[in-house]
Amino acid sequence: MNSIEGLRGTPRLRPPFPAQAGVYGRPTTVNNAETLCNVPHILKNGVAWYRSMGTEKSPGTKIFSVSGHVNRPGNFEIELGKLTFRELIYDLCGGVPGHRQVKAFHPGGSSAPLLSGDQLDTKIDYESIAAAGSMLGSGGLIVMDDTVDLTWAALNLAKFYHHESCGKCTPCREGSGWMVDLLDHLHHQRGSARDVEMVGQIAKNLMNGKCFCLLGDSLGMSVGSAVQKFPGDFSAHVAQPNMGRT
Amino acid sequence: MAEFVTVTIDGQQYQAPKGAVLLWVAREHGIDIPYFCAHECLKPDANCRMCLIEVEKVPKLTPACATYVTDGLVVRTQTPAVLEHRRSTIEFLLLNHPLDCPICDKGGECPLQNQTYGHGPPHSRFEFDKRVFPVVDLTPLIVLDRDRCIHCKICIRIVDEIAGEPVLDFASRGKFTEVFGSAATPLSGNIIDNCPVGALTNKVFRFGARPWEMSHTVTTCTLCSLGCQIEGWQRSGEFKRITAAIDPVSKERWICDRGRFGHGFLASPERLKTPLVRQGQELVPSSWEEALGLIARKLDERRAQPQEVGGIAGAQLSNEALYLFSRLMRGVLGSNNLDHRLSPAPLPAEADVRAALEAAKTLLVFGVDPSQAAPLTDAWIKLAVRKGLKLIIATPAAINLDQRASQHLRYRPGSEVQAVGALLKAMAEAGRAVPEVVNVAATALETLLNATGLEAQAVRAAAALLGPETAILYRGVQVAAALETLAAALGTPHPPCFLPEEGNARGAADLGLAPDLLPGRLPLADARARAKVQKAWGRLNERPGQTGAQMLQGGVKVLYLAGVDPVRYNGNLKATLGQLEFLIVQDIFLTDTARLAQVVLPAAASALETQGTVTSLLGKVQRLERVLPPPGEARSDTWIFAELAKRLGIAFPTRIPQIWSELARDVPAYSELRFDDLEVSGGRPKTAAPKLVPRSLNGAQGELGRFGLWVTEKLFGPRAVLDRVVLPDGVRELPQAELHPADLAALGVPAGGKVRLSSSNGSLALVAQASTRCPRGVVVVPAGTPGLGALGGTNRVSLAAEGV
Repeated sequence: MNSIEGLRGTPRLRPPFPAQAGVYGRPTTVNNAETLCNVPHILKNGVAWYRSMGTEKSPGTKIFSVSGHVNRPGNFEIELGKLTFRELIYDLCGGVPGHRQVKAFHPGGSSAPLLSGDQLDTKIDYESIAAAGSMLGSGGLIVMDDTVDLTWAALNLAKFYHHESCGKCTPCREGSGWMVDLLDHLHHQRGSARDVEMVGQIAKNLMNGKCFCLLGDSLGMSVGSAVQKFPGDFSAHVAQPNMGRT
Repeated sequence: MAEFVTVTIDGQQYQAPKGAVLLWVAREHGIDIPYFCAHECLKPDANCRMCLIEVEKVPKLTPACATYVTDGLVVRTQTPAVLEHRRSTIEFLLLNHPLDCPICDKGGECPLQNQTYGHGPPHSRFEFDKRVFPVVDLTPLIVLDRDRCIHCKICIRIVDEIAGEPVLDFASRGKFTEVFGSAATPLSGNIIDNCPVGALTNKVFRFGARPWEMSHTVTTCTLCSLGCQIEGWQRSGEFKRITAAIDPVSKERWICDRGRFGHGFLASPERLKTPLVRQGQELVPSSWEEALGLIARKLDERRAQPQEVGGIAGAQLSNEALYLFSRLMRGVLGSNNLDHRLSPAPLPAEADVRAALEAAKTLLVFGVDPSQAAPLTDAWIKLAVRKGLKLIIATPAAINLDQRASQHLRYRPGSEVQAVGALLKAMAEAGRAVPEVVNVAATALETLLNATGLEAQAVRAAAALLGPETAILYRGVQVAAALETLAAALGTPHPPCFLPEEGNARGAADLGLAPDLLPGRLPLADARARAKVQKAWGRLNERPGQTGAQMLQGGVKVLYLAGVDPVRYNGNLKATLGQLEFLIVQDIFLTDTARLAQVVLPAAASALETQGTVTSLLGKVQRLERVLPPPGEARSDTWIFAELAKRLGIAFPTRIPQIWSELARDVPAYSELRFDDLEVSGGRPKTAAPKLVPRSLNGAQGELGRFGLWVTEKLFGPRAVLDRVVLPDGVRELPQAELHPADLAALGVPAGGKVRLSSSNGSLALVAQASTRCPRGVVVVPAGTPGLGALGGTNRVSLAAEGV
């Protein structure tokens, strides 16, 4: 909305909510294209038709954009509550290249906390994913196989979030940069066990409304879950006492 | 009255107005919630995240600066989660903040430093390189150190929400976010006071002293007539800096750059430190005893011929000094030759300029650049325009506020009265009532348009905007009566507001520092008023006296000048003043006028070196306080006047509160104000509804010359005190003649060349400056330009290239 008004692109303080006063102070709704696409179908076929798909709490369908280590990446519209991630990955997306194992996946975009390979049998609907400790989010399923080093993956994500951080609020502006520094350090075998611990703490300090908008939370959630679920990947990078020294 | 509701903070119940910001409610009750980006006068931005607290029924931490009090609100400010979050926020803020507190100007008065001690972790865990930017000048007066910035956005918000000029913002993103743009408004310096770190520092004061070495006192600024409250800072009797004082009610804390950076004259090496007495060609240092004795003997000799004695006191003096001066002249010496003006000027209205322009629907700015003459009006006008105020700007050349105006009237200097006449004529033609004395039938609109250079369409459009809710700001002598007539025709409750140059012009008018006025602006011709003053003062002459201009033209033999420098204004006066029988000059500098005197008395600067009161254009009497002692033997004006009166056998009150009580007794409007009550927010004199008298507009067209001359004030223009302030390059406005480039070419003036302005009275050579803000045929000269008085107050001059 700020960008439309020619202002610097930063989130706005709520209230007022966009529906009360949005672009140029007028009531505004902000939705993505997928949400709006549902509207004509619901209008045409009725609410009962829409609700006939999915579960009680997750009615209808959802488009999943599957990327990463799958043979057939792409967009798949699926009925909620019917499939598991295993079925989506192996049946619709043709499995993992080279028959490798799924190590971890973001079920709903990079901001959704990581789930591990042993959680592939989670049903794809809002409540099941939440019960597994993540969220359905945008439906951007990112699959990582067992060749992936999660320190690298976390660094990659942190760089993305740092680049995206608008700089408005303190935790995100400063924390995302620090996160990149620390993960880069670790990735290059220069970090310590204390650094691994700090990554987890900074992730926590970014979460739960401490930032102005959800961007900082997202970084905190995904990197935090990586450290929590795959501590071995991080500790493997900790510099050995004699490494790099003579 | 706001509805009060109950809010529970940390288990304690408090009453607070519904909708109030929780952060301020908590602070009012002594509950410390740390914050950086919140400000009482700005909209909440919630970007620093320092003030996050727990609110019952809200799952996440919530910013107190954006939480509004509702009935039954329950919050907790000291839970482990809140405390841990504060530690983490400080840690984040310090990641890229250089820990250079020992050499940072803000160290010692720095919110970040204080909050770090209060809430932060003892050590930093950050072991990487910090973000580094070069230190740059944001403006010539403000240094920007982006390394120290914590991105609270207060400076950006002040420039937009308070100064009304959104020219500053962030650039780049993430941790490389930096303050970028300009702060070029007359209020720019306020971002220094309000910066919670040392990212914005005062270029003049920088590295001048540590905050804990200085003491500060709240006083009133007298560098314009708005009377802003300032804090003067001194170390060991040495002037250091000015900051804005907080208004306890509105929490406003804004002053203009002239007030902030323009007080360095106090420390000028040119300050007078001892009395000087003439011995032949020389002025030699003397004792106070000798100097005062000499003056007293001279004045005593002349007591029998009071019409040969006169006095002019500058309107930057305090009410108390002006009052005693008036009593010395009238009550002791029996002379009504008394003024506060060197040349004719209107008296400021008994009004509140800010209230008028904020209540008005239309503002007519006539012949003045308010942003420069009374700089805070710049912000008030811009913000009022955002809320729908219609602005009509009638000035001979473009001014900064033009882009906010609904209508421009670019009249030719010298045709001010005709320009107002054209507005009245347009109103009459549109069928609106115009006072009969104006006799609109006498002149055709066409004639007025020809005289003024205005276009019919512009005049009609402007007249259509004028209505009963119009406020008028102006400068100009002849036009004063015309604007009063216009205001009467419109039926507006706001009298036209003259914006004077001196800080206490309103006080000087209220005290009757004019040859035909008595204290309380009562006419000298009023026998009852005269009787009252005579009873109080023991003596009063009923013969009207001479104006400042008349006295300076040789109307008196003994002249007492307190805080005025007529020779600077008009070098030709040297001859007249040199021939006076006795000239007494009391000033803070050895001015060119003082060099002609028989006795020179070193005065304390009224602004920061004396106690007293001044009356502002906001209709408030406010206190002056002594921030630091005057240099050397210099003494306050009130002390000097009282000592002289004593030597003439009259006892004046000597302590300021005593002087105030006698002053308040003699000035009816001030009678209910008590000196002690004036301390914090000042007091408002009683004012009657203004009586606007319509008069016929017979302003003769100014003397004909090829060019119209517009004299307009500049923020840091030439001025006796400002000339003696140390300022960075590019801040000071030089005494130059601004002209349209085509006019300069036509006159054959080369770049950097001089141009001579001549009228029938005299002439003046100035460096010419090409400026597209001048229309063809108009020359703009800053007010206070030395020697301007030689032109005799005309606004038609002929120009010629000088020295080609």
